[in-house]
Amino acid sequence: MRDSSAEILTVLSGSQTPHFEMDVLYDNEVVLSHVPITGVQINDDASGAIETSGSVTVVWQDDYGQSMTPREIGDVFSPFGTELAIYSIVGVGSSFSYRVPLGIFPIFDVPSARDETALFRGYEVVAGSVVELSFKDRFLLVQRNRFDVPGVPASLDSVYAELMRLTGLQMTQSIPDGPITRKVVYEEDRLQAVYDLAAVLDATPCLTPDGTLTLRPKSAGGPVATLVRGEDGTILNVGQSMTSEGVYNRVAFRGKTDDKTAIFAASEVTSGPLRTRNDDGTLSPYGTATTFLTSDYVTNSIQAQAYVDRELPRVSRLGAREVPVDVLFNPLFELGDVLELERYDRTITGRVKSISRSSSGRMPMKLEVLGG
Amino acid sequence: MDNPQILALKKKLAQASKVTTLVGQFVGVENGEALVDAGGGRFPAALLGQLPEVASDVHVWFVNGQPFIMGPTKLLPTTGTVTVVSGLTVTVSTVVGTFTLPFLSWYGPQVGDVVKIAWGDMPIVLGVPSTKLPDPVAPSAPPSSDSMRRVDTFTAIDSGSYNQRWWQDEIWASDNNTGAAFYGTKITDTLKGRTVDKFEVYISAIQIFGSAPNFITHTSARKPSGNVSVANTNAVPVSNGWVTLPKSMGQAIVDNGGGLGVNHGGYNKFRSINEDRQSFALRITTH
Repeated sequence: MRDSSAEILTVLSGSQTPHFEMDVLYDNEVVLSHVPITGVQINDDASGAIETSGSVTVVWQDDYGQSMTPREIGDVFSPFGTELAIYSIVGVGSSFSYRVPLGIFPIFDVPSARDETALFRGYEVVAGSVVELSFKDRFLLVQRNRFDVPGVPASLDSVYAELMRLTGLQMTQSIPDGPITRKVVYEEDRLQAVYDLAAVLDATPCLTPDGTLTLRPKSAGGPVATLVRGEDGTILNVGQSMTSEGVYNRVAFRGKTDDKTAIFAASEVTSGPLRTRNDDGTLSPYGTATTFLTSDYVTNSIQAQAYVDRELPRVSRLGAREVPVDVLFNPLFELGDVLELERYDRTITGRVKSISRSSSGRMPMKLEVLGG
Repeated sequence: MDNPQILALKKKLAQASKVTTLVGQFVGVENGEALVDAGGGRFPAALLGQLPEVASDVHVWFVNGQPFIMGPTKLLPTTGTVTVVSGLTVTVSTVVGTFTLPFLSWYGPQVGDVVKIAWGDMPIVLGVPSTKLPDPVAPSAPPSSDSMRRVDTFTAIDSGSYNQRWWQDEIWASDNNTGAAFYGTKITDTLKGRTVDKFEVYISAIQIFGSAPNFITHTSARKPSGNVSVANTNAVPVSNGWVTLPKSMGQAIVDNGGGLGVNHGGYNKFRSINEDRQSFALRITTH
């Protein structure tokens, strides 16, 4: 859950019609500030390498009747280096208003832009420009910046230092640092290298609302908020879905040691409905679904066994039950948050897997069910 | 459920070659085929190159489901220097360690001989060359592209003025107010261990009046319940835009965390980060 103050939390306990605005940045300097935006759609999805993408529409009326439609590389709204700092405005009437930052996003694409013109004393002037912008998070820049030459970590002392060297992004350290286990060659995909390095600390790389790189632990933490039903609640709708896709009951690891001998480790579910086989050795009703893992950062069989034992509960339980839930708009929830959902008969604990924000007061999320 | 574009993409992906790399142990030859243990199973695989030694570790690649033994995983040097001669074996010192090996029957080994070694299913020392050509020169390491110099702009994540309590978000330097901006932990997380060459603050002022504001460093990552700590006080006259402050202040923040504030002086009022996201942004040049 993002940083906030007691006032903001109080305001968000009620219903809000979301308002957004943005500052336009170029080279980390503000070019335009407090730009009102409409048609906002921002999607966070933990299943992608670039987790956040979205689109906004700017309706710009220039003081001097100029067009803001981007035509050249280097124009303000051109998708070459311009970044959008998007804010959600949380407020109560005129007495309290605060900008909650949602992130810093490089413009990816300008799918459509047009000028509305009007005649003024015989001259055609631009009455307004309507510019649609689509954007992604800063990992887009990391992904584009592919390794031009193969390389290895400069030093094995610190995962954070290496992440910073690879991305050039500023860093907010969220979990303790650790050494890199082995000199692994980076081939081409820089973002994949960033994900692999973060996995050494059992974490996923992500970005904070102020655009710094941070790590989100792969294991779920404690609940950060409880969502309640009813008159004072924020839950609008809770669905239910189940799939066996992406659910495994056996994890096998294949790798090699520093001495170049083979490592093989496996871990499987031995009890419950997801067991791989019955007690007498016969095939269980669900059968065996194996997923293969490999990581160059695992260097011995003890590490490999720990790795598969750690991953097994994740692949066998997470994703098995996914709950789509609609809640009232809240700019503070982020991917990986653990939430408690109050139901009529029980409380569900779930981890946020995707969030879809728009100008509507309703905010659909998907939760991976951890319990309940 | 998937849309047609994704289905088409999946089809294309299914046509791409799939390579899985494993490490296994060479078992031997059975019915004219090389057998290998890899990934927990035993299976025949196509062999590239000569037969490896039995029980040696080999790279096994699956290309579209077809297994290939690509060769030994260990470096096997083909030259070495004889260090010990004992009966029918010699000990050879090489770039990756020493090996004790037999030699070809017609070769009479001497300590100090530089010899050629053949590996495969029967490792053996072949003998000495007639003469030694000059050593080839290894290519020099590719140039490193990492630059040591960094210029980072850190924007504040919170701001406020303290007078008995944090009563508003603007940053005021006045007789009764301590103003401060908060940055989380990103400054020290990003720059720890580096030396500050230049330290600047972005001033976005509502009012500049009277004495110069007393800039201070504090040690809070986020707004504390009470006032912030005060250290490194420096009165610096300001105007809108980037203002250079003593670099010792920047070094203190880089080393100890925390952020920048103003402790009296004035009456100067600076915008909150709500009004201007650049207000009290820090630009730190380090090496």
